[in-house]
Amino acid sequence: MNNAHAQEVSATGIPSGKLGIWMFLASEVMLFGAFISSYVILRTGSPLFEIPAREMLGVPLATLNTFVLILSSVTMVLALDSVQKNNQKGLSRYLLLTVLLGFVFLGVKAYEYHHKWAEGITLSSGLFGSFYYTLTGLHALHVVGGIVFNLYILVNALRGKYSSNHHERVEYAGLYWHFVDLVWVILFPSLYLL
Amino acid sequence: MMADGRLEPKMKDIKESHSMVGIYLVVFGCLTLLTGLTVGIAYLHLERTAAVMAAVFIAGLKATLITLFFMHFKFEKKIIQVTLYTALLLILVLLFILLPDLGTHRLGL
Repeated sequence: MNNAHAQEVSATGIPSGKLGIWMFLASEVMLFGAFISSYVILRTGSPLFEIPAREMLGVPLATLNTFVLILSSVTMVLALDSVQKNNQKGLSRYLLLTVLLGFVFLGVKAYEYHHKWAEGITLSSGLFGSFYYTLTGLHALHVVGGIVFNLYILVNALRGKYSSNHHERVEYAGLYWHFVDLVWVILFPSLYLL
Repeated sequence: MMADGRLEPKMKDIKESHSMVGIYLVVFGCLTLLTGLTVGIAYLHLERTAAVMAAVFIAGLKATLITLFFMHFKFEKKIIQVTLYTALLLILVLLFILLPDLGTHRLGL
């Protein structure tokens, strides 16, 4: 979608790009919702669903990762706030911070995977392992997607392509990133605390 | 510049934006506190139903704060709100379709 299409106002009075990203997010709600529903049903109903001890789950690291994603959501919304005030430096700085925090999240997740695998929680070790890697893996893929999207926005920001009058794509990237944060807020207690 | 009547609304926008930064930081504080609270409650070893209800309530509250303030959902037009509510409704329908199956398994039917 080029800039003209992204800003074009649809019959609803909303720019096509914004309507498109919200439609996409609604489909993502259904994707994650279907997986989480299956997890809830099997965990509640299946006698084969064994939960590993909390010590094996690594709650402190997952809590740290939750804080990292929440912080990245704040830097993302501050990036949008900066461009709305025509603050180009602020936009680039907060976008860069968001991208770096995304990498921190993935780094911690990779460390967690390594340790869990070594402790015997694998994809085929049981229902919990299957759901754990499917849900967190799918989420991590979305984080990777968000980092790529944000890097693209960052490169354009450094080229001075956004201003207070034209920053739609910064907003769309932000919507996607906040959604990724929101999904983790639900996955965290479901997989680590209950 | 004040005479042309155009700077005033811009300044108003910036003022509003300043107040939004304050709101973002308050939301960030709330999200951090709620994360600490949900972890703390998990270590209290509450009865299962109470623990699940507390975790679901806090996660729902955090998700609502992110949606309303970071995603600016409360300022969006009705069509966007209806789109998201429809997706959430479909998830609830999915859960309620599956729940009777859970009941029959538990009863050994």
